[in-house]
Amino acid sequence: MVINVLNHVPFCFSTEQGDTIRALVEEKLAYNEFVTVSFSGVSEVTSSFINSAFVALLNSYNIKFIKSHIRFVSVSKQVSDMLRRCFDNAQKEHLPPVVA
Amino acid sequence: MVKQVILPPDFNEKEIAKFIHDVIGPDGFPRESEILFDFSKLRFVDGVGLTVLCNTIDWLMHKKIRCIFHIGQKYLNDYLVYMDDCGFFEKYTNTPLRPHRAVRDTTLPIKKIDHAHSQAWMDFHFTPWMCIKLNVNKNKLSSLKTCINEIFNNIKDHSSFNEGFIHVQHYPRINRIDISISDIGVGIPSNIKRKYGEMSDKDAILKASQEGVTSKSHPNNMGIGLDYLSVTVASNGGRVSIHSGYGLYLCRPDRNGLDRESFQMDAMYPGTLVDIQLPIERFIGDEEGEEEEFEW
Repeated sequence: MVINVLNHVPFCFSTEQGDTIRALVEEKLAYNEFVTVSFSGVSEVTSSFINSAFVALLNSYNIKFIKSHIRFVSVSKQVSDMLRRCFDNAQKEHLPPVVA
Repeated sequence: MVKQVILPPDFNEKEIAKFIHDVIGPDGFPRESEILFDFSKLRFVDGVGLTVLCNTIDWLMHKKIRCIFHIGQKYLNDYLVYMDDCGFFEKYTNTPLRPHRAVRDTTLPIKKIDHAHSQAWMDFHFTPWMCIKLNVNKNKLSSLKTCINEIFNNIKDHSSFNEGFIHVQHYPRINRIDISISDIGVGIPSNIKRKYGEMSDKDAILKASQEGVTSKSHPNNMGIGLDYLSVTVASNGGRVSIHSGYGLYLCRPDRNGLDRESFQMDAMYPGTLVDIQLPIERFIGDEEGEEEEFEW
């Protein structure tokens, strides 16, 4: 299953546009299917978009599941940097509690 | 009662605090129900000054304060002509000072843009203009555009309003481009204090600039925007200043990476003002390359 983001949203800019993409991804993940997300033609994305489209999936799935079920292809340098930044930042927030 | 506010002779970033202090009282409200802006002493205004003036007038009008303009100059000086060319007088009085005003090619004139239309403005106005001024192709501008998009997302998510002013000015003599963006929302310190507890505006605005710090005005916010802005602008040799509430944040490149500092101001900025200064000869932009697969 390939989701070409520009087929569904005009820009990768707002939280609402991110929500649209997340709904499509979640439909597939719910059935344990693999998803390829293509950023072909997208030169830049905001943190709001990435957080809403993909990082919010951490509320339902763990990072291991997300990494094994989602591929991001045709990503520009800026898109790649923002994906990394947002997931790194979110994982700091989702660190499991430490038992001392 | 009418409060007369004399615009400073040099209306630039250094004059913001005094100007705001003249307009807004210590209680955070306009000083009078009518404000007369006196332009007679104005000898210079830059993009920041113009943006602050528009933002303040908007804030006053939102509070139903009547604004009056007193030009007080028999012959219009260069800077009133500049403001006229930027569309300032036409915007607020429906009539330009001169019948044949024209936008200069060194200016992307001040415009109030709502969140929904900001992308179209970025693609059809900002990007082509910046490509010409910086002599780069649009792929080099991805991170810089993202910074401005993040600011518009902040305006929507964090302020009570959905729109902001943006003005872009090229200064050929010093070879620099300044981008000024302002809104009249509740401001960064107020949002940060709501999440993290009481602190000075100086500390709140510095805290907001760190990666991972967010007011969570939207559940999916993770606090990337202001850090991303600081890093991107500094890596291109530029400077960022943010005025919000009583806080002022400054970020510049230094030998060790970024020099970030904040200050407590005497006057409260109504909303948030972000000013980006980009020296053209130091602009590097984004690395260009083929689209690739993302490696986790």
